[in-house]
Amino acid sequence: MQTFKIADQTYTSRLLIGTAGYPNFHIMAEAIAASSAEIATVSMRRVKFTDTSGENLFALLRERDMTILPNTAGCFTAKDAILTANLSREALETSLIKLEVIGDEQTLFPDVEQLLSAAETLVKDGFTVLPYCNDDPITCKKLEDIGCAAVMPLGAPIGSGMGIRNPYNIQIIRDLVRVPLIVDAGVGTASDAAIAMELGCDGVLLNTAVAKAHRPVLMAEAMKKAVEAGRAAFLAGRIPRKLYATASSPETGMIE
Amino acid sequence: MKIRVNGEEKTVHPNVNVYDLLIVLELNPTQAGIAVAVDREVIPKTAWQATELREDSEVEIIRAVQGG
Repeated sequence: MQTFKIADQTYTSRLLIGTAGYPNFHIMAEAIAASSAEIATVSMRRVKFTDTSGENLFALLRERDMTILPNTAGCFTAKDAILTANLSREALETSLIKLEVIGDEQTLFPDVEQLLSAAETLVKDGFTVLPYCNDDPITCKKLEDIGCAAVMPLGAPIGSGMGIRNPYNIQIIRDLVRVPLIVDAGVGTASDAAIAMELGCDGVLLNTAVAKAHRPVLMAEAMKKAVEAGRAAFLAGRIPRKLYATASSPETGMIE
Repeated sequence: MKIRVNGEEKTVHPNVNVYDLLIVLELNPTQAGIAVAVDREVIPKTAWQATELREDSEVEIIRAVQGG
């Protein structure tokens, strides 16, 4: 199966996994391993002076030789997202950034105007920008034109588990952009991830569907298989949909 | 003098630099994975010792946490 490239890095797995919201650090670590993901997202937050847990996410991901993809989650303005990106580049020694500029707390939909402006500045500053965006073909095209390394439209609102709400838009985006297309957010279960891949996406980024599953490690494994199956189905080429039946067994040689 | 670190007020020696501030806060300045901004400007690790804080400086010390 073809490998997948972001910027100059080649990946075998097309599943990108989030690290938030697991029952505990140990289950997170096991779920990430079960997913076979090679890219994991993290957030940048204030150091807690009282933290004595000894849990070090950065060390764990480094030890596993994973690509760390910091996000700008929680930023509502281009200005905050740019500062967060600069802090993450300094802290994690990576120019990769999952750019999120949120427009509204209830939906967590992106603020497109702020997103485009932040993307432009960060690309100019040498970042490899992976923007979380609406499933809007025009926005995706603009982000590609700005120089983003991928586009990451949402399937549905973050954490909603609603699946791919507008598969037709994802299909149009696939036709319109040449950079890697990654569905980010909205996946609820394995079939959602498979559908994203069957539509021709290059990858799927998910978090809550695994972290909040009853058995996160098992769901991580399911997601891995779904992404692989969906990719294979896309490459194989699905049959056209038809309203009426076409017999698959021979129609001649019947007993009389 | 008084400064703010991650939103908390702290009293520190006048003109303490970023590197020494981290030691005072019992944060190992040589550890990987942390970054510092002073008054919303990122201070590269190589400049921590040369960057002195002033009264009312706003310091942010951040690291990677679990995120989606």
